[in-house]
Amino acid sequence: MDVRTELFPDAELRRLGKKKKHAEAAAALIGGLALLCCVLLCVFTRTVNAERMELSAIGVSILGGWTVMSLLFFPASSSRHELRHAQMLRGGPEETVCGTGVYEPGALQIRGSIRFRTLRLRTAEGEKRVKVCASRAAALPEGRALRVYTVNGYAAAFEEL
Amino acid sequence: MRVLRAIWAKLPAYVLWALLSAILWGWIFGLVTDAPAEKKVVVYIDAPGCRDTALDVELEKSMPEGIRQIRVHLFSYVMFDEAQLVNADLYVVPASACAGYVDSFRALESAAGEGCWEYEGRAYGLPVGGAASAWVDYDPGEEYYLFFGVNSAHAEDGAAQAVAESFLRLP
Repeated sequence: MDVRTELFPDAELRRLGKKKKHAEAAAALIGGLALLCCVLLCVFTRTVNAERMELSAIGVSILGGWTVMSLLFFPASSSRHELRHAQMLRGGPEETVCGTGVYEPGALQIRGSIRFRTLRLRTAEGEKRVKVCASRAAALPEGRALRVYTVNGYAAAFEEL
Repeated sequence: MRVLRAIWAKLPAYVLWALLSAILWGWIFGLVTDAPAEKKVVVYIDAPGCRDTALDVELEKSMPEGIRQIRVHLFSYVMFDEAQLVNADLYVVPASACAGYVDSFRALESAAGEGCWEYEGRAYGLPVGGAASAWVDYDPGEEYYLFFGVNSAHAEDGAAQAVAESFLRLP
């Protein structure tokens, strides 16, 4: 086989870029609409409806803010972290490890960065561990002889031997 | 499960946003729904209960010229800011409590009619006689009087007088 497969090919980077942009655009749109709604509630406030309008503005502001935060915290932020990770993989010095890999159970989250899984590679010299971005772990097959290209201990690409 | 854990990790940010929203919009609506003292007539009522917003709306139907807002508060509202009570334009107070607040009341200049509340030979309070009882829950065992504030910004322009007359005409 010996065909090098990138864990973050250009198409994946484009998809992540789009996902991040869409999430940020949706957050900006929802935030803007919520703010506009609150301003309109202020404008149409009269003595008779002041309490209701204030409660409505607080409700709209809280729900709008939570939606914006959810969009920024989850889809936008995970795409941003993966993009940054992919840039790191492309920019760093590569090393290679050859062996048969098995994933350790579970994934770990690096604060402010990606979630990763650990691939235990049985090599001729013993055992080596390589970290693999959890969202791309399925692309890297277990139980087969692999040559894994790593950057700073993270898998960047692989070849099936 | 992972999503729930991620949300749980961000929970303080969600709670903080909810608190900030409530404080921010409470403050903004305070500004939007308030008016400066010279454009506002403030009425304090010392009664067991009052539908203050509905009474505001009713009194604003015949607002004096130059006035943008009429605000009715129960005395309990003052717990946050005593200056508001001291600078109010009108007070509705039961007879049993009048002497305690007399320093905040302006003596009536015109010859007062019968039934006014008097203190040291001077008339201060006009009898309410159940006026606005559709909005104010008076204590049935008390006589209520309406007073003008000694620090009122509307002693000269007649706005406090006009609102007092409107109040006393209410059913």
